[in-house]
Amino acid sequence: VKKAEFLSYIGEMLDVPVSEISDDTDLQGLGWDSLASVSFLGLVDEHFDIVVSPKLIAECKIVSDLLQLVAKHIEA
Amino acid sequence: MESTHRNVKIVGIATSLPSQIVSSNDSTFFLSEDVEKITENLGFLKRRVVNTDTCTSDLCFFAANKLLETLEIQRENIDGIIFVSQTPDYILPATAFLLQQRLGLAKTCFAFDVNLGCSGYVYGLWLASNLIQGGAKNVLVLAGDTISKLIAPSDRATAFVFGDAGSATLVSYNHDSPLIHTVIGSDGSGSANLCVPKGGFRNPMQHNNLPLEQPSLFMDGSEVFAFTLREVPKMMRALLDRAGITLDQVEKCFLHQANQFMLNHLGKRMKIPSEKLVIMLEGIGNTSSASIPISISEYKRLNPENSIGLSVLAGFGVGWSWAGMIADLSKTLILPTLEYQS
Repeated sequence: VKKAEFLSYIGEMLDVPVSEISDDTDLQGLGWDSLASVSFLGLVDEHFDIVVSPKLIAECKIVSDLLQLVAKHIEA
Repeated sequence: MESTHRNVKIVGIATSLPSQIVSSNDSTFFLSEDVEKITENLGFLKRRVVNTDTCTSDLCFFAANKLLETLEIQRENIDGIIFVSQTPDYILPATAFLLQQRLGLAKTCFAFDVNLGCSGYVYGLWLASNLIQGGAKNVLVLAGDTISKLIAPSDRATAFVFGDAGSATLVSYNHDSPLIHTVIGSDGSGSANLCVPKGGFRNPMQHNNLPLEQPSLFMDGSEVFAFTLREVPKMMRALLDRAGITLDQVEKCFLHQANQFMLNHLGKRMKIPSEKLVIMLEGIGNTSSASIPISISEYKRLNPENSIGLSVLAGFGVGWSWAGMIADLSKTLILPTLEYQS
């Protein structure tokens, strides 16, 4: 999966235009909450067949932190 | 562990829901947009909940009485009763004894409680199957919960999730029955993620001359979902392998009715065709140990002409624990869901 594609998944998930999402976008500003964390788990499971630890998701502050969790599955 | 039982038949299933309906829209603790967002994810707005006077045992008794009457089974022929619940009447004695007496079962009957939630129904059927292979002829499995009594209405994680329900299933010896396959697992590392931390003997309730606080359920929804993603598809593969079949040969999948988002995701990941994945949540809620039999009886209520054949029953949750079963329900008497005045 290309990075732009992954960002579009996140945008779709949060119902936010992808143009408003970049590496340093603050997750709280995007309305990130416990439901978003659950949706992110589902998104990563569906696209990469891995289960990310919810504790690691809870530590994420900006979009690039989320990207870091799935870094080896993201094409430059 | 995995097991296969022969000569065991699931003879009949009855369930009951309390008559009282609550809507998440009535909550005064959350903004309406919050409620909308949460309930959209859950897939239901309304739930059935008991009043303060009704216990799980009342719902199960109501279902069991109707089941035994309909099947015209002599009560002295019941060899044992297993009550599966996290909401018993008392700390002791076990609620199964109260139900043995209320149902008029013989004194030769065995009776015990099993403290399990969302995986509990399948566990109960598996236990009954083992006991039948050990010599019992007819075992009643009464599974149900009134989790609404453990919910703090201001807790965003649990306030809108749980409904109350009871069920009764008769499992009997039958030498013609097809094999029943079961896969069961446990992982106590997740125990803190779905937990009522106070009110037991590790953390007793403190009185301190204040009104006694109520024990309440803690749930980490992300951890619950991550657990199901790790274990449920694996369990399903093991179950199908054990039975030597593919999903094509399965008629219906009755998974624990956690919420719509989770069921849809699991269905997609396990490649269960939507017409085989039964979802019965609206107007009911997540009814914990009763959710699988409730989904079966609701399917029957809404589709009285359709038969239910080879089925997957799969529960997963508190513990962590999980249990999946493949059983033929084509000769099982399934009563449409009953309503208990509460």
